[in-house]
Amino acid sequence: MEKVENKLTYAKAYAELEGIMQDLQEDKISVDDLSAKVKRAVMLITFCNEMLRSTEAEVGALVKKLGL
Amino acid sequence: MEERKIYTLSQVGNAIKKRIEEATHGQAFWIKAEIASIRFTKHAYLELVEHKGEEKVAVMRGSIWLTQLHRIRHELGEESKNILKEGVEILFLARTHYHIVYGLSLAIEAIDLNFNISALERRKRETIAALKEEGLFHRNRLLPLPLVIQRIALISSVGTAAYADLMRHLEHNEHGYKYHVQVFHSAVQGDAAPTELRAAIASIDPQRFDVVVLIRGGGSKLDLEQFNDLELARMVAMSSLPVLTGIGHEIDISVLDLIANSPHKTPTAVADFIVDRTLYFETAMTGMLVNIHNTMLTSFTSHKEHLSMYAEMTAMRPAAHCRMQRGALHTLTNQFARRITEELTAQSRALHSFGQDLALLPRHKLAQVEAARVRELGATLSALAQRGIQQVIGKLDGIGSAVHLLSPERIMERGFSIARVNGKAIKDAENLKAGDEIETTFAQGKAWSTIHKIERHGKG
Repeated sequence: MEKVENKLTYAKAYAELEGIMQDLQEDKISVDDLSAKVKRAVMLITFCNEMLRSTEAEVGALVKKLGL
Repeated sequence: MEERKIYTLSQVGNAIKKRIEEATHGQAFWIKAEIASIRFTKHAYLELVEHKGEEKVAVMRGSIWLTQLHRIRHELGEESKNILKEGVEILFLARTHYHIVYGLSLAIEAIDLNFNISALERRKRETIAALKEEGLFHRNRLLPLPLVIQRIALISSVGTAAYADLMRHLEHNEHGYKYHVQVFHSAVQGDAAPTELRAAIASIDPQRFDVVVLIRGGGSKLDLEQFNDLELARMVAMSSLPVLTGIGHEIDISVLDLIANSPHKTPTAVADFIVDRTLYFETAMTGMLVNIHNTMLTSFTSHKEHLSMYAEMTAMRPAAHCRMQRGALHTLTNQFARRITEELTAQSRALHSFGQDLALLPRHKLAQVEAARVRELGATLSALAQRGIQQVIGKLDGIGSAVHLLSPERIMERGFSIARVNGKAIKDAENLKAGDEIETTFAQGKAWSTIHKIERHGKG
């Protein structure tokens, strides 16, 4: 699971959200799966939000400069 | 030996000067030449050349006197630094001037700027034509731009206002988005610019960035020359990353703007474009989540409605069924009762008329035999009547017990009750109104209550 998340891109996240949306509108998602799907949707947008604002890459670059 | 005529240098010089002045009548000419070198003191001194291929075919000195130099600089405006420099071909108005000490030179009085601008346009058109022929013109523009642009390779002259503007707009965006900018320094003006720009593009690792951004602050028309360089344009076109330009200018478009994936007027506009694109993405995502949430709620509501409908049906169906059965039995009972009454009436009428017939017979004609027959007949009739009555009673008993089983009392013992208003049983809520008093009869006892809410079913 962790590995998949690492490879997540904005484009992939967006496409997945669109997929969930469509499935929901076409009633393809059963009530049993509903909460899991919505949870996933929230996870995707949270991920993107963090990526949009994170300083992770900057910190990584600084650490690299220190040679650690 | 004839005596030689010897001239002084000044005599020759003056003669040449005179001849030249006669030939030109002091007239000025439009002349086209390249500036091989230029030197400024109070005045400007130029070396003018004409090339044919690599070969120099003519060389002459030129000069611009102080007064003219002021006027020409004023006329050329911000372009004067691009015109009055080595390597530039100019079209100028000049008079031949022969000085017996300094020799021949061209005194320049005016320079035609349009000549240089049209030359620039011509070279620009040539570059565009070459790019089109090589199939490169649309290449960068067709690259897909990432949904979110975050890793930026910036080609710029560090320390310029253009650089500071772009960085400020990216770093201090109001949404708190984080951008990772790596700067590839390059001169963006002057003769070194094309070479440095090419080197900067070449050193960008496409794996590490989403886009290349190329910016420059404001500049003059001829300053754009650097951005029309064919070799530079080729590199931009071939870049595997989309190139965004912010080459500050109002009206003029450079070749780089034409081939870039996304051209913008100023460095600030590039930054705003990148931030807006991120905002657009985030807004779309948030919108989608809201949408998903709403769709989910709608789906829940519809499921709930179905459930409650099934529950209601489960509760209502058996009661309705019982009501129907009870009605049918009631009708049946009535039919039987009517038929039995009719039959009894008919029998008793027959008996009565027979009795009257007997009474009418003359007593003296009553023979014993006849009397006996009459008695016998009477007995038979009586027996027949008795049997008929017995049969009817038997049937009635059967019906009675069946009716008993389905009597309101028995049904009520099973938990049903009868609701009445004004002594009449209620079959539907049609004519009820709030405040009506209901009399409810149970298997044991009664209760009175008042209606405070009515719900009508089945009649739309």
